[in-house]
Amino acid sequence: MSIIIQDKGLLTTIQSSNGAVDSLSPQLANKLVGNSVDADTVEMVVRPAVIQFTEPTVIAFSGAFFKALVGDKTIYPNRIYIFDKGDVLQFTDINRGSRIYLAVAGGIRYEKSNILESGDEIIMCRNYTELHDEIFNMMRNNETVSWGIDTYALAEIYLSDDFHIVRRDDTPDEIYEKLIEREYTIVGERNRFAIYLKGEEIEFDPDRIDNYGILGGVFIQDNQPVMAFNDFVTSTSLPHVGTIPSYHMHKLAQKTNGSLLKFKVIDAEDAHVELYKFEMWKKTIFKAIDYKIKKELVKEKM
Amino acid sequence: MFFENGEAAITFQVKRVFTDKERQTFLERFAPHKSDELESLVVTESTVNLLYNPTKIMERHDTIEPAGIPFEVLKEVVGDVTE
Repeated sequence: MSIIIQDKGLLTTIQSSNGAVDSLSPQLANKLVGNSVDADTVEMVVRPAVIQFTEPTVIAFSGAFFKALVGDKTIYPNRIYIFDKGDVLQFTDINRGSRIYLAVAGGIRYEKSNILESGDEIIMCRNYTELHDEIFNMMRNNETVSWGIDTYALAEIYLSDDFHIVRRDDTPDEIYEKLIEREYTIVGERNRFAIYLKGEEIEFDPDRIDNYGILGGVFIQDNQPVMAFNDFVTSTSLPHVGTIPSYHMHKLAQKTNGSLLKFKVIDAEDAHVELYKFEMWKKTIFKAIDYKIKKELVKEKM
Repeated sequence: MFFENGEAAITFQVKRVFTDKERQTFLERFAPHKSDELESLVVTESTVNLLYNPTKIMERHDTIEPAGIPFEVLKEVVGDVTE
């Protein structure tokens, strides 16, 4: 037996690190449970799945700020938990965001399709390392630890409404002037495909045959911006005005309908500086998790 | 024209449709360059896109301008193709 999807929720899939719409949250959840940060996770959207465990399983979830219940115990994001045979994880209140990523110590995989239906099983790989063994030992007498990734540490990364867009040299300045003039409102999302905005109208019809449907690409459809997610088309005839850098895509992934969004137009050089700062921040968080786990292990051995 | 398509891609775009032979040539020319720094080449009707890992290039090549390496490779990949 493995992990059973009792209720699939709105859309529950297993995603690789490249396939996750919010690429940061799976890394955080994986890091907490001792996995490689690139290990596959369960991506759940808006209405998460109900999940049953059939053996002692160490998990963490990250992303949207959902609370969850196992029996009468409240389960929080960005913490490590161990669940036992028969435990059922059910998500409840949502405070912010739209996507949750569940990591399972030792890794997971799917048998037929990565799109999970009610009744499907997620196969536990059980690729346990020495670190996993130590985490299991550490949690033998405790269902969780007293720490997690602090919400404030993630606030700056997730809560801002400002989005960088890397300009194209061949796009006229007046297009960018309109784009940055006022905030845009998210009016819809086709899941994993694109986010649709409404705000200042942009009339743009350049002489191009097709554009690459790059992840984070900002395209104009019916005079309004459309932002491409992971499953967007490879090639599109929609005019392309710029691209959101990867370090802002996880923030976009957690925005919901009605959220406001403000563009800031930058050059690729500035985006590289910001990306490097983001990578340094991420390394700091990962080191802090390593430190906390080691400290718990020492405490356990004393 | 060439342009930086976000912080992790360089795009070459033309105002016509590439021939099948041109597309094949692009992929063949890129193959020996594929690495964890220069991750993939995506060819559409009229664009050639080199996806790269800026952080790895910055750290390994001690540079704050990681686009230089993929840009040179993309120029080699498209060769003398005209717009």
